[in-house]
Amino acid sequence: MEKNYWKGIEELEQSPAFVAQLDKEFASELPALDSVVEPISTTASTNRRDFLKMLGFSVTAAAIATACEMPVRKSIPYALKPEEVIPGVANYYASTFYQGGDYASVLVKTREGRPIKIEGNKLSVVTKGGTSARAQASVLSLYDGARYTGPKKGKESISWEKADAEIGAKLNAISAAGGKIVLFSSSVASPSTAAAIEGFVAKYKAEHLVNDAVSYAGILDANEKSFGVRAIPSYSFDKASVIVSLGCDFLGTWLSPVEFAADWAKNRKVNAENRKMSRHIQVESTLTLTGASADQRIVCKPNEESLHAVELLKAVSGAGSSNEKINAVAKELLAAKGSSLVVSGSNDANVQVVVNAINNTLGNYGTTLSFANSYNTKTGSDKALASLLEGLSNGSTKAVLFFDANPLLTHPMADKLAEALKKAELSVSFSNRRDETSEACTYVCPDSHWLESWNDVSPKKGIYNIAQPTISKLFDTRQAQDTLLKWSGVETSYYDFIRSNWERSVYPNQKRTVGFDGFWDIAVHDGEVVTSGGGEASFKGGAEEAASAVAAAYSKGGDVQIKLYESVAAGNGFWADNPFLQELPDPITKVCWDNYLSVPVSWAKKNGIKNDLELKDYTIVEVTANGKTIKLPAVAVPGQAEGAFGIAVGYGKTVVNHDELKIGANAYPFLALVGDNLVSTTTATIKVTGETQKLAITQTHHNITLKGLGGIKRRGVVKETTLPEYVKSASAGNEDREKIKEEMVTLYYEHEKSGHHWTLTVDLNSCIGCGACVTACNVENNVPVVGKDQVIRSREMHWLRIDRYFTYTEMIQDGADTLAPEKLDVVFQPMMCQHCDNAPCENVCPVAATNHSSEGLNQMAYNRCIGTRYCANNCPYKVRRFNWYDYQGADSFNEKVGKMWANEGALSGITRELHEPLTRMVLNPDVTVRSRGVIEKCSFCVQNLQAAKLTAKKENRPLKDGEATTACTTACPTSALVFGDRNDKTSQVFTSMNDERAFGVIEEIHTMPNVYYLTKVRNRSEKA
Amino acid sequence: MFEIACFFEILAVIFAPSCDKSMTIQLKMGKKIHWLSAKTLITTAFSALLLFVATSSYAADAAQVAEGKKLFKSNCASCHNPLTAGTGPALKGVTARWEAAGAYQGKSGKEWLHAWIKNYNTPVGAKYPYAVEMSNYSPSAMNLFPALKDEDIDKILLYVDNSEVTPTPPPGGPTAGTTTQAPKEENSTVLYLFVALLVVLAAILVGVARKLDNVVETAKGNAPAASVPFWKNTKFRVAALLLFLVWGGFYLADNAIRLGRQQGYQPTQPIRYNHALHAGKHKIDCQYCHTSAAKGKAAGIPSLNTCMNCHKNVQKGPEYGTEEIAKIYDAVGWDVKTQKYVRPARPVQWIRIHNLPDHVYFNHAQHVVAGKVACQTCHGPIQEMKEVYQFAPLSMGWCVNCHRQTEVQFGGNNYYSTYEKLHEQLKNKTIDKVTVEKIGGTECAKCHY
Repeated sequence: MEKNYWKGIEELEQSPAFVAQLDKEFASELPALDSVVEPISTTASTNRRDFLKMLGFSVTAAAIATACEMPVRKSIPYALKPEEVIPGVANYYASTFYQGGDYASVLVKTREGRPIKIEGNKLSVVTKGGTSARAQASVLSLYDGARYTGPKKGKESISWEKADAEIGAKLNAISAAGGKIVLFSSSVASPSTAAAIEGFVAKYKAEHLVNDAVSYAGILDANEKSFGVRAIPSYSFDKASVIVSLGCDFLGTWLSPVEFAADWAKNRKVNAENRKMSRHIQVESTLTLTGASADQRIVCKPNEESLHAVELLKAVSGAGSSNEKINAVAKELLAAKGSSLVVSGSNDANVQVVVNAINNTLGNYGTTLSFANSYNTKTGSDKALASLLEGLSNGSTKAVLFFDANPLLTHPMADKLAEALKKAELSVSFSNRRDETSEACTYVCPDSHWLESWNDVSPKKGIYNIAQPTISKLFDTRQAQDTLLKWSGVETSYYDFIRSNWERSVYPNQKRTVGFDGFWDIAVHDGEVVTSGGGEASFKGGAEEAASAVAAAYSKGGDVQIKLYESVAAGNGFWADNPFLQELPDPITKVCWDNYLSVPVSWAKKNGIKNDLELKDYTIVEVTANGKTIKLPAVAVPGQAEGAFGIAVGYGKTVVNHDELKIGANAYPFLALVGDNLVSTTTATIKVTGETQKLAITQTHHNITLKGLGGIKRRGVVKETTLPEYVKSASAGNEDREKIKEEMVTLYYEHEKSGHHWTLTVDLNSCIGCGACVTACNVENNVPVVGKDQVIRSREMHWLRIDRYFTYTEMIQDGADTLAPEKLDVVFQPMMCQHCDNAPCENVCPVAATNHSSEGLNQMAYNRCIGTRYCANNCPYKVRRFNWYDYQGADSFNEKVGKMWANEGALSGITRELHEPLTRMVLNPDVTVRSRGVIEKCSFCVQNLQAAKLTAKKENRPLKDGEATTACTTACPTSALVFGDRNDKTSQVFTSMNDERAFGVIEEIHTMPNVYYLTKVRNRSEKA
Repeated sequence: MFEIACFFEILAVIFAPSCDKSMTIQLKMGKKIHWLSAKTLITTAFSALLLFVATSSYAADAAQVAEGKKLFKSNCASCHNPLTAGTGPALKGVTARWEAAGAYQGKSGKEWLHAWIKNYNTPVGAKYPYAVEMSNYSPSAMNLFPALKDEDIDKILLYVDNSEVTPTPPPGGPTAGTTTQAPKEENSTVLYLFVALLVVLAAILVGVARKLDNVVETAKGNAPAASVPFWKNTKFRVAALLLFLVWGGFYLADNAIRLGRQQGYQPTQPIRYNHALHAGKHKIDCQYCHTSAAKGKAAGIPSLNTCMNCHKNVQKGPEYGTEEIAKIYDAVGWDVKTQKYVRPARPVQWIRIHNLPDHVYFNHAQHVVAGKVACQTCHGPIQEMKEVYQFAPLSMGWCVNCHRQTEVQFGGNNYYSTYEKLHEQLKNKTIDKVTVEKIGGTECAKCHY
């Protein structure tokens, strides 16, 4: 039986609905009239009268529009031009993204003083130029309509003077009367912010409670027990040759995913000279992003993720485990003593103590684990949640301030907290946009957006970053730190405060420059300063009690266990109202705009769960745990252990700007208290209801299927091999390429590329499917957000999608269980326009709107396109997107006639917000905003290529490799994408595309794509 | 002598049956020498004349004033005006004022003035009272001119003291910069009249022909053909319909293509900024104001601080007097009397003349720096425009045409060194030049993305 790659169960089982839609040009019914003023029943066809009405309307409208005189346009220069701004030229400023617990050192691209794009900072030793989808999307939150425009008292707007006076008086009164004042925040990684908070705490004898919504207190508590240090050590995945992860999604969401992805990928890059790679074993219950890229998955129930840690400790200590799989893992780990790494995603301190003992036994401390540069980004404690609730409930806490925290969403007992909060005399939120907590507070003192603020961040001990403002404040906001300083009676601005703080604490530890001003300038310019870290710590033991505690706590698992997780896009809830991230399909399930219960396939079949592709109807289930019940649609996910059910936290927001953002249900109440820690696994009961719900799943949209060629099994789409095979032959898995190349004959002449020949290569071995490239592409190229309803109709506009294919670990015999979770393998394949040198789309365009350039680009002239969509139909890669509506308000015509097409139900409120002047500030002025009725697709970021060429021309020199890049390439945290000019024989892309692993997707049809993929190599002994 | 040599060479050229290259060169050289000799002669005569004229003291003064004016313009005019106060005080009568301040430490007031001009620190350092007073005139320090000779300073002072208010020209000003459309219209009117005349003539001839036919027919004894009015004639109707369709189609297409194009567009700007004066007469470099033309996609309209670089001092124009310059002051918040910024600046809302559709990407730096295209290629004789109008049609055809014809700076820019194939073709003479089109300059994604 041939190895099969399939996108979903419907494809594996060839469900009639799936087969029927395969040959269709567009997956959904044609939308001719689904949006026009009155809903028309689906059976009625357009009659002669309707036709005449529309004809009459369009002729009149066209006549009105064209008869109008040309508008007088103004050209308004700066009154006094700032020296550094040149209209039309982008400026880049180093800054630091630290939002919702995520960190990245970044460069902010600004145009005429507007931040429009985030790039990674290549000088950073932590994130190394990588970014995440969240960092990329955060620029949109600057121009968010949900932001507060000034301080508020209840529902009323007040002035800062009044707010300061009233709150100051209350704080003083409460403090004088001996009442408790609490400042509740998530981890404060900024040393200056911490100092400002300290000042505030000292002045009012307040208490600072720290808690992270997705908590890391378990590791902190464990390290305090094991090492006497309440810190998270740095993990060096690049130094580890064997990695074992116990339910830890370190590539997707855990602790510092951008950094870990970069480090992890270093040992996954193989070539003919270097045929070595790390071995990655994932022990997990639900299928995570990290598990999807692992060499081997050991699938278990959620409680067993913890129990296996105990077994593993036994095995590595020589006692041996009853579980043979664990013994095998231990054998591999012991063979790589000192260069292995075991991580656990559990928030239970006992589990983490056991993991510490394993790493200690393996001698990993000081090599792959080090306390010298421990993390400052997670310092929270789970006890803080209880003390917050207790203080407010019993009335001892008189005043509470919420900084960078939204406990009314993230607290497991949020409903009780909401009640208790009403008793407080004073409650203040510093949130810069409307959220559950800020709406319940008596005062809102809105913080400025991070792109408007000065700040410093120390992600790890000895590493300091600066965040600088890249735009003037859009609204009447004030940095929370400034507010705290003011209330503490400190008159200096926060900027001066940071400077003096750095002069005292950072400057003396560096040797780079003499003179603080010079040092400060370098720090602001580079965005990062590295000083010496701290010392190591030694293991103190205590694993035995911890192991028995784990065994006691988790031995009774239950048949239905919930595993809570953070979704790769929406995170802990901080990003849940970001449209870019909501429209980013989940890497595994490809669901967007929704929260759901992921269920094992076997359970779904047994319980008759409806996953109807045609109607997009998904059965709703009732999940009950911890005495709480929520309703969610169920989605069957291959690779998920029996008895394991996954729910993402961070959904279920109630305070949002648009109803479409009230998504899913809040799963935080399902967090279970084990010891002092809130853990993400709990026993539950599930009841299947008769109801169904529509879900936007892009899983089977845009399929590469060619009958007789790639065929349903996708031969030639994805290629993979195993490391032993690759060691034998560098072209393993790609053996057929030579033959394909020989058989390529064409009637067409070849396009001449005398100058550049742009080429992109994608290493399937280091792509982890995180979606940073997709979001970066959206922001760079003004790709619109279309909303859930449009995605359900397969009309998402993403130029770059990540195809996620499922397959088996080995050849499956006929009749075997094709869906056995442990046998499942995953391949991520970023798919964008392949810029074929022999493009099928170009031949069929009746108006030559798409054609080939002398630099190998498949060009798309929007203003020439008449929307026949022949090209999209003829594209074998299905990468062309049609603008069914005016998603971004490109048509001034629409505005004139009162948006009558745009309004009536067709476009969601989110999409309409993209028409607003505030939101449109995020648009890239170098890229056309496409109008309704035209096709668009990946352009290889031609605006960047042109800009790089011009810079070289102006400087009278040849273009350097790496200067001309695409948004996806620069955003990729693992450098899986390489872009460049193949005519430059010294370029990285030339080497990459001539690697024995390189192949073009279905290139046997002779499309001659300019995108090459490198075979995936799995480090395992079984034959692929 | 030269003439004779030249004469012989010409003779040689005439009589030689085949004229080789060296001879041509000789001839050219001869001509050049000939011309130089004439120039020397004229110069000598002119010098003699000048020497003669110089004996008259009045003429000497005039010459010195002229030289002083030249020196003043190159050294002082950026901060000083003889008649109005700018960054520095109004200078007319400056010699008298320093003389009046009296001698000090054995030097006359005029000597102190000379010292001040060379280096204002000298008299201030010596605590000459008037110099100390003047050093407080403005917070900005005066430039140092140690290289100025005393006689040059005298010339400058002579010019300054002799300057008069120049009369304001009558309103309306010179009629430079009128568009070239008027004569074109006249031509077409004549053409139309001529065509109309021909049509009338044709009609008359047709009438006469028919009359003659009738006469012939009557003479033959046949009844004359029934008179059908021409509008009922089928042939005429078909012809008219065809003509209408052709004309109508052409008219429609022509106008549809022109929709949104604004060639000749000349809106009235909020400030009557005169390019003919700034760029034409004063030869201010375009990029002095349009600074980003060499740097980015937009040429940039100067912000008010650029205007104020000169107009802090130049408070009156030759044409509109103070009226238009006052608008700058008003916008930037400058008070002329106190010579201070008194209000926050607000931008001038210029009317945009050159509009491209949103789907077109145009980059000035690409054309100005990489392409070395002169501004006038697209903007027309801007240095003659009193009021700017759109010179070029800015249509796609116009762009593409230029890209087809314009040669790339291929050898001169190292960027193109990677275009090996084209370099080889140039070397082998299979192509004689590399146009923008040859390097992909007419492809869609060069301007549309």
